[in-house]
Amino acid sequence: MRHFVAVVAALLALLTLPRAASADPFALRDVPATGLDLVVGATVGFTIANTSDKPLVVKARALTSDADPRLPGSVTVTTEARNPGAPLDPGGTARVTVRFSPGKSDRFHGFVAVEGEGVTRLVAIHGRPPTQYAHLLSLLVLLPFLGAAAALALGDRSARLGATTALSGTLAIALVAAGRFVPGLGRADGNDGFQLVERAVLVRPLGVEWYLGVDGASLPLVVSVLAAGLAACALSGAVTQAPARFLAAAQIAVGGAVLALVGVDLALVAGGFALALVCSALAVTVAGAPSSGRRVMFVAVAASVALALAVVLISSRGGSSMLVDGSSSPRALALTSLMRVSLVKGAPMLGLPFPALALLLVLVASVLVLPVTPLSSWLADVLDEAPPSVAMIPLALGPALGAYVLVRIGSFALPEAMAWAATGLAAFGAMSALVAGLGALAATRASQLVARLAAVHGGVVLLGAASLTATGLLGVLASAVAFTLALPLAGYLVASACARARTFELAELGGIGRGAPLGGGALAIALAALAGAPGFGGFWGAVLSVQGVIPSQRLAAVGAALALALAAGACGRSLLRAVVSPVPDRLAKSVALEAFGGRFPELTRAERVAVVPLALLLLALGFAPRLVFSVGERTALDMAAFVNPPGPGQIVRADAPAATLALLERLSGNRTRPAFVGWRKGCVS
Amino acid sequence: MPVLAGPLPLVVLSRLLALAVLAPLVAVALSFLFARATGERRARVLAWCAYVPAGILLVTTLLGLVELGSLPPGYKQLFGGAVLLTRIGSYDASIGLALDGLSGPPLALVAALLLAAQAATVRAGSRAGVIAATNGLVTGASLALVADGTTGLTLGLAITSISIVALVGQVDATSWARLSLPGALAVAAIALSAGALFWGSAGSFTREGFVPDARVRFSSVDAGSKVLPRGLRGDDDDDDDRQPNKRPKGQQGTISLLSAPGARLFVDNQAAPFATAPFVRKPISAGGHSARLVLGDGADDVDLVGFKVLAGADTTLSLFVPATSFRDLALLVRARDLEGPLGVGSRLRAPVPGGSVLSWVLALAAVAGLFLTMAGAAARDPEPGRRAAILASAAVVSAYVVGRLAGTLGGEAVAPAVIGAVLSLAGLVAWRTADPEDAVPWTVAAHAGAGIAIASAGSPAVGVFHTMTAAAAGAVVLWGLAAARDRSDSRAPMLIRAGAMALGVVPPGAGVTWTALEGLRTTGGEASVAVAVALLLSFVGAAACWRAIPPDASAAPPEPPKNRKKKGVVVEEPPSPQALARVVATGLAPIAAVLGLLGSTSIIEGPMVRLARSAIPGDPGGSAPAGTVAVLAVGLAVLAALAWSRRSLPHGTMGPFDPTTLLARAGEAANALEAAVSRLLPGGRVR
Repeated sequence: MRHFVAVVAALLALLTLPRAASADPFALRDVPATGLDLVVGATVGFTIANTSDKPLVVKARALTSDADPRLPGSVTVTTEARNPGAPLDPGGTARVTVRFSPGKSDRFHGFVAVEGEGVTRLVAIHGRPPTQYAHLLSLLVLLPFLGAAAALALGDRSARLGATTALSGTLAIALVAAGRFVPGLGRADGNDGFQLVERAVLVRPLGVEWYLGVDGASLPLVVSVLAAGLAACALSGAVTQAPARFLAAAQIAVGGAVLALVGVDLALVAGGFALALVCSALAVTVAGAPSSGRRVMFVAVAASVALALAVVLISSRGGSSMLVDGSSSPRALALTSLMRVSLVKGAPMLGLPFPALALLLVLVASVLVLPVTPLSSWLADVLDEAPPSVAMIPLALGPALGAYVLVRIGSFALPEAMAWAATGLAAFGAMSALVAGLGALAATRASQLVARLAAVHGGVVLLGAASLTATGLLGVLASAVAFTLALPLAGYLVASACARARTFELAELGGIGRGAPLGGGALAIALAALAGAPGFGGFWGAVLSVQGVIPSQRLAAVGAALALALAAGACGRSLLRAVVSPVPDRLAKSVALEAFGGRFPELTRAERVAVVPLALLLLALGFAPRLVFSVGERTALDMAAFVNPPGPGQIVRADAPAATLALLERLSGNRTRPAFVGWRKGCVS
Repeated sequence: MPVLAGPLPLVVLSRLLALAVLAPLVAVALSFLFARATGERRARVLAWCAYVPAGILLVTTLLGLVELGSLPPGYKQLFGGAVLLTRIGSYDASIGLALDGLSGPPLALVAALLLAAQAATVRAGSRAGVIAATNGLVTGASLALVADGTTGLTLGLAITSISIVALVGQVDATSWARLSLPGALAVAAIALSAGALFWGSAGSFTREGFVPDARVRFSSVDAGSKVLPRGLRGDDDDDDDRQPNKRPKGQQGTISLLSAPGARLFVDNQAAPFATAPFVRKPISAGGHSARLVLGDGADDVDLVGFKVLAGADTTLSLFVPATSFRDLALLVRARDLEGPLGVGSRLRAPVPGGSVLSWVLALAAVAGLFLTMAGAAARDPEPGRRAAILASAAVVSAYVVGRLAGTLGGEAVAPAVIGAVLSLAGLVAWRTADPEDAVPWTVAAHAGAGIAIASAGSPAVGVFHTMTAAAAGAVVLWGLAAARDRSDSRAPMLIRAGAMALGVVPPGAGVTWTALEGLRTTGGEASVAVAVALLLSFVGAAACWRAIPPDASAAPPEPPKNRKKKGVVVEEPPSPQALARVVATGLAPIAAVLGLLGSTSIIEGPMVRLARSAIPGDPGGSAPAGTVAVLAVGLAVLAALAWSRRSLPHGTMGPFDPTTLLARAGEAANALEAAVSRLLPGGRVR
């Protein structure tokens, strides 16, 4: 074992070693191997020395421009030479100073390009805040994994305490990250809109980097995934079969989901996605629901394979890219590199344009877990078989990851394909939502109803993604956040009520609110949020998704609105039966409720602690949607600019220095997509 | 730079409007909190929850109407502030509150009606859930009526829909399921309508698809003393006491900005923001200025290159970008009309199924769904007072939505007018009905159809006023009929007589008649035929009511009321708030009469009609194509025939969710599809 570890370590060390520099007409001095490290408000420098035997014209410039703002605007590069503008004499030196002034962004990873005699060398520069918070996102990703190890180590008796502690800590870190997040920071402000960025080379030959960052699309989802995961772990007291293993799997699933959400490198996204889904299925299986666990596993593996294939295809056509240390990689995996690549070139595969094929794979991964009709039966099966708190894990992670990978990869890496597929996607989304809405209306089992409501949401998410408008994309993000909270909450409350009543048949349920006002109220909130009722979390996302698609797909918009209305109608019916109406006589006199005096028992203290905050969050999102909107607006706008670039009359193309643009294109290999075209502030005719 | 074709609204800030919307929301929470309490405290709190919010709404509205009336003539508005939800790109979803001549009277009427409904609830035993649901209804209806834009209107109608379903679900459990679907469909339709209107103002729906507005968007400034009515101008000598804000002194003027709530305005490159929108008449030095409007994270900043502030005058800054606010939309339509056929106003009325045409169709579908839901709920309500109040509110809110849309878009829209006429076929249904308690709601529905036709034909305020008076009259008749049946109120004959006359042409229902005639006279275009037909049908309904009301109901002396002291039994007198509420509600007929008489002082230019006209400046324009009209008319006729065959309105046989219906079969098919796919997955069936 020890030898194996040593060999792996040696291999990794070999793989992560930077390539040796070739002989150049100039040398760079005072440049550490990992690049220049500078703190906000500070300056750092290096020296260019002419090592040739003739005068050398050498220039240093930040690898950024107004047209392609890779670095924050507060980063400046100046060259100080004895004779400014004149060639460097043989043996002469020039000092390059990089300044990172305080601004919106407090960290970055970029390059200074040094050019001379046709040779270009890149010097990696890394900006960071002065003290703490440097590795906030790494901590965020790794803590759930540590919690999983702790759960296994503590054993069945104390595993829940360990898990809730670890996830509470992770949620606290996420909230700290949210506190440090600057909502208005977009692509035009550098770092491609990502904040709290951490970047290091992970596997050099494959071009895989430990590249983390959050933006308006991922941060709210991270918080909601962690909140739902924490609630699931806190409620796991009723899990009797291998609770420690369940909690370990659940935490790994949550950690994987967080990794997928904060990963900027597609390998991390796909890896986190697979980890989250497969471990969700494992959690269901080990907690005593092997049958539905197998189904979830099938869905998880199918979705993970589809996404992995898509990532492989994308990276294989993405051309070369620059890693964080300035070295070059034959393939591009970082989203920030893929944003600048057009995948349209090249021969079609399987008769389809290449990006379309990649998008179809992403779409398969997305619709399998969102879920979308007719692929939502796994969700009802989990609710039927698994303990309620166990079912919360796949219910929370599926919609979040399904919506996220579609808009993230679709918008940033495959925008042409998104535009190509928009009509079909909208039609499919509307149709599946409509079918799910009808199914919800005809649902006879509580689990079936929740699954159909979730599928309506999945259809609306597809519709919003197909809108190609900032409004629709913001609607998708808001919907995903709301459903990440509402679906597990509704699933838990429905499943636990049905478990108490020993029936899932809607016709036999009733009076939950009469016996348990708190539980009934929380169930009403969760179901109303699922149905998109006003005043609850799901409303605004659904409204924006549907309104956003009107200009391009009016018929689909009408279909989706109809589906939402059907879902609301079904929800109203069920709410009446399950929550408001009196307990049916047959149920009141049944053995199931006999112990509780013929009424549904109120939530236990542990349930209150876990359920009430989620319900309040859903109410807060309904009454104060700006909690999510203010964070996601700029990101949605940036996404829309990719998938649906503004027309010639709506933009003023920023004046980019031609030399920088040319250099960027040359360094980026087969970059054919136009460099980022920003919306100039305050267009005036 | 665009120039505004019509006058800018005179806007006065009013913080009371927010109170009117928030008070019932607080009462909903209080009702739930005290639902499980017992004893006298519970009864007292619930009574407060019942009366105070609707009372606040009524008082606030009346105060607002008085304030509006005290302002100089012109289109004027009380603005209650706005809350930004999101501003992304050009999409601006904010909830603003505004009261103007179009929304004020309906709001007062709805407030009074719902106060009466709460009185009925308290009389029937103060059920916390019913009080909470009625307060939800107050919140939703008031928000829908004072909403400054499509977002607020959508939210208001959604809350109304949910509340009415919650209300009826508590008094008739089976109705919840039956009514939740049409209510949800209404909300979906109004949300779509709002979206279509927004995108219609942001580009063109062509046969090739949506073509966004290609022009660079910028702001326009409309300045000049003409904006301020006489009495507010700096050059006036007289010091008018009615001046809402202090007049700027010396070489100062003022600027106002009501668009883009939350946006910060930076003037003349100053680092500190000059003000945060919305603001009204903020002093600034006279002369040329430049400004930058920072809209927020999701939208680009907007530069105002140069605008001139006149000394002693108000300069209103208006964003000429796609909008969701009714005021901004109206300005946009009128301003861009000057740009000819490419202008937004012309574009929105273009003969393609986008923009306003789509908005109209969807809004009418929403109105139909909402009316069916509310009328269905009213029909199932065992409490007569509440039944009458809800029915009348349904008619008023429905007509208002149409009136507001018509007023925003301006001009004459033939298709909605035809649809209104088709809805007026309800008058014929009333003629077939022998029971007066059935005939009255059908007649109110017919009047609502006529109101919609009038509003669509270019007189929105007249249309809304027409429906309002008919709804008030209908409520009074229904109340009177219930009182006569129960022999519980000595005023029953008077109520029936007054209400029945008001439903037709006899004073005190003069408002109905005169506004109807005025509506007919002012239209004069193609839609006037539809208006004439609609009015005729609604009068058929009124005649049916007269025929159906038994003579003894309106003439016979009532039996002694039940709540008098009987031998050996002490029956509680209604508490004073109930009495107050009933007096207020009963006073609606005189209010309707007064409003009607105001309108009828002159057929040509009565003050009410002038108010109605000035509420929304008219804008003659094109009309929907004949093909669309025909399709819509046929569709609506089919719907009306279905409604007729099922006799679903207003006795609410809307149709429960019947397993044998097509919908249920479709749902079962959907679930079968899921099951089939599920069988393909590995793992055994769980069930």
